[in-house]
Parts: sequence; C-alpha cells; structure tokens
Amino acid sequence: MQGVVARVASEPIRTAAVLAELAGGENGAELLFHGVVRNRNEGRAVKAVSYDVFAPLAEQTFREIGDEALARWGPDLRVVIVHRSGRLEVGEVSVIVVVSSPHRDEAYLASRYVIEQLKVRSPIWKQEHYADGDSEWLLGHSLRASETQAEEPPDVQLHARTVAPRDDSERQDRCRARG
Amino acid sequence: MSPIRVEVRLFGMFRKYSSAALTFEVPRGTVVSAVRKRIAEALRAACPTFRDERLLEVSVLADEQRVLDDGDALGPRDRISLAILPPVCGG
Repeated sequence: MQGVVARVASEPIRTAAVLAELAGGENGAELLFHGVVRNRNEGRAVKAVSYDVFAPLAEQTFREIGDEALARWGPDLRVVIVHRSGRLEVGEVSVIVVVSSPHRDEAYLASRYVIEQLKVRSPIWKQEHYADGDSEWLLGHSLRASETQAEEPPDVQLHARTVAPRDDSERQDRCRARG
Repeated sequence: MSPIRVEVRLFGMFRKYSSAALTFEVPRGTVVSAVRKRIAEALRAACPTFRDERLLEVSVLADEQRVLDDGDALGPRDRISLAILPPVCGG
C-alpha cells in the first residue's frame, strides 16, 4: 500500500487483515493501537457503546490526519485507520491505528498524533449503555472554531476544549412528544 | 428565484430530538449562521420539548467533505444535504 488507508467499518475489525494491508517489507517498525470498549466510565458499569458516525466526512478526516502524519514524519510512513460504527460490546475493538515507518521513533510519534487528532476532529459520537439499563450520549470536543483554542499549536489542540457538562435534567431531556 | 430545499441529518445527541432528518426551504444564498436558526425552529417543530440552545451553539454544519463556516452561503443547487455535528468523541 501507499500512504494512508482510512475507512469506517460496520463489521468487527479483523486485525490480521488490517496488518496485512501494510505488508511490503520496506519499513522496519510497525506499531498497532487498538481502542477497546471498556467496562466502566466515570464510575458507571458499561455494558456496550453505540458509535454514531458520519462516515463520508469521518473517512475524509482520517485521510487528512494521515496525510498530516506523512507530512510531519516522512513520505515512507504508512498509516491505516479503521473505526467501527454501530453497537459494540465491552472488549470489542472500536478503532485500530497501524503505522509503519523505516524506524521506530517516527512510528510512535505518528501513531500518537493520529489517535489524538482522530478523537477531537472526527465526526463520531458515543452513546454508552449502562448495566442499570440507562443510556447516555457522551460529551465531547466542539468542532466549532470559536469553541476551540485556535491560538494553540496542533499538538496542544489534541486536548482542545471539552464542552462544559450540563445538569442531569438537561442531559436526560429526550423528546417525549414522539414517545 | 426558487428556494433551496435543505435536508439536515442529525447525529449523536441530536438523535434524541428527532428520528428523521430535518427538512426545510431557505432562500438561495442563505448563510450557514441563518441555517442554524432554521434548524432550531425545525427541532422545536419536531420536538416541542427541545430547548438545548447550547448544544446548537457548540455544533457545526457540514457536508460530506468539510465543516462549513458560519459565513458560507448555500447554493447554487436546488437541494442540499447537510449534517449538524454536535461535539465529537470518537476513539
């Protein structure tokens, strides 16, 4: 493969198949990152997470982030990004980032860059499903320029503004008019 | 001049206010900031209990290729499909 491969998948991620996409022999370092659905968040027992994804723009964003990694750490870099959509149970892989490069330094730096940028720039949303039967959409990072700290350099923007929590009554305010 | 038919797909936290995309018409050349106000009206029409103005304020409008700026004008097509994107949390 050349450059960047990016996609949204509705089926389970097959890690061996993703790694096979990087095969070529020219790079000496290959780094794999898995994001996995965990069983607790902020003290609540989690059963599953539903990922809502605006797929065309998400894939476009993945490609842009991958291209930025190539621009920063060299054209020999290879990047594969696959993110799941739909409902995932605890332990399932939600995202995989694989980076290969001639040497390990670039692979570590690029892998961290890709996953951190993906988390704050990609149009993806998580709805957690809890053991007590409740579900809740998680708060996240605004894509609106006026809501982020535009003066910060890119690596600091990885931790761009998180929207302030609202009170619980507002969070739970679902549309009762439609039942 | 004929208006533009706008479809707005809802994602994430917006889904609790309507299971279907919002549709409305706007005059040709309407800017994104004005579309945002129309979305608020459409959400209230779809869900009378909607009053999460802060969520709209921190959200952006996008097409399939990019996030739109508030000053971008819609056109020249007769129909346009957009998405309203609340704060993101992938990974």
